[in-house]
Amino acid sequence: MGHVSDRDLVVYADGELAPTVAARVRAHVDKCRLCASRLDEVRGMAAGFGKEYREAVSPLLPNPGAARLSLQRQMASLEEQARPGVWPRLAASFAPARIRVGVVSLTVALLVVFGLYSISDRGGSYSTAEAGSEPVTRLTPGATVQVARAELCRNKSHASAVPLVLQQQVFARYGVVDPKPDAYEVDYLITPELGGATDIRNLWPEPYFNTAWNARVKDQLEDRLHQMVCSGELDLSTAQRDLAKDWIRAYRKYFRTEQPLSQPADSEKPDGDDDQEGRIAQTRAPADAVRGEDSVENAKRYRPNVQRLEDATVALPLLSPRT
Amino acid sequence: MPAEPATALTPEREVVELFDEMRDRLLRYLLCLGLSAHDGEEILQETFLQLFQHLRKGKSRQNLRGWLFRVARNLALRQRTITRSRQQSQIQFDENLFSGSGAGGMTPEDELHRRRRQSRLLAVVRALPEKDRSCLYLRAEGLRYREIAGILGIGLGSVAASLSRSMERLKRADS
Repeated sequence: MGHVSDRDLVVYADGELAPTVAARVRAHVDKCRLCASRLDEVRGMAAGFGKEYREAVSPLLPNPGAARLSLQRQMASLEEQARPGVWPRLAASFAPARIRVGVVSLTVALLVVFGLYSISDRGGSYSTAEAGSEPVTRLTPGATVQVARAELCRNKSHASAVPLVLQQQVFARYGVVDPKPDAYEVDYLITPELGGATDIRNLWPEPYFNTAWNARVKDQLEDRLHQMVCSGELDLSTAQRDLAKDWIRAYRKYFRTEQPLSQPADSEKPDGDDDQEGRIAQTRAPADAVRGEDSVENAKRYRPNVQRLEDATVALPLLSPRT
Repeated sequence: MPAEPATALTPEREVVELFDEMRDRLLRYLLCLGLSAHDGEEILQETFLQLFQHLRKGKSRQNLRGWLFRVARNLALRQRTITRSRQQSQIQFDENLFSGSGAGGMTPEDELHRRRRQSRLLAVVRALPEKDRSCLYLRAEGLRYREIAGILGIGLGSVAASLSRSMERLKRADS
């Protein structure tokens, strides 16, 4: 036979030639020095280029952690949209066309339900907590994605907007009809920065301003827990559990205060910023969403918090993670 | 949480495993097609979400790796309009591709030689038609001829011809 064609040679190099043809090529290459060296070249050239190319391009690739997390969250959200609610009757009322999917997501692990929690259970001394500050455990037990602590700490900002469709489902589940745009934040019970899932079981409509224990306050707690988890003071599962179980109690525990610390809208912050205070001051200003007459109301509501500031400045150095 | 049997992977788990295995290879390929890392990542999100839907619907699981390359490539080509910015990022990328630092202890002459060689190879790769380039890059990602043919939607013979053509050109530039 004549020399092996280029086509046959490259396919042969891949071990993809039909056995009979391959046997013929092998027999020829064994005898023909020219084709043997062509084969070496074919193999060497592809390998050499491949190696050089991978080494050159790989440093350009961003770390995959954030993309993986985002992918997991989007899958969980898609899964959730296709699944009937944990409470089918309720779910059916706002999602009549949902198709049943038999396989329950395994990457979205439902946290243990911590028993029924109602606000009155916390006793009279905490009467500042108003309805809505905490989710109904039955509706929002909390859900997490499986993610390593290191990953959460490497990529700080994971908070992504909750898809509007999902927000509407959350409102429907809580019986909130026609919510005002600034009244609620559909918030994660367990924040994604601590491994919380974008899942209806981990979301509830959290009021911004009609309670002292509002979304802004919870943001402070989340920042604090994230910091503690990443500095190794607290393990991730404890942080998740405390958030899911009773975030207000968790706030009191981790900030060592009975009342929420001062909001940044209060300008009466004393001097002597340490890192801790600086961080709190950076949380979103509640005033930015307050308009018109409401602001007077809100100003009154925030007033009591200022009184707690002295306590806070005493307590904070003890909690400072600078160790 | 009950332990799940290893045999029955959920679609989510399977997608995450494939993501971990394939993401770098796919993203490198998208960069080679001239996408920025940012655009490439967005296309990969879309690709893996499509894979998730594909698996959930119980569709064919044959050669999922090839499937991923094909979908990513189609999304990339759809998005890729020839704009200045794209060409800009392509050129930047090309330069990165061949300007990686050489082995340590090179003499200046060696280094010069290496750079000259690289710019020659770069010129060759740049001049290749998109399909030939794709063949070369996919091959460099370790894909077999048959898989490349499936991804690009061309015959096995065309892949072989394309690769031997490209290699011949590279060889000539390298001599």
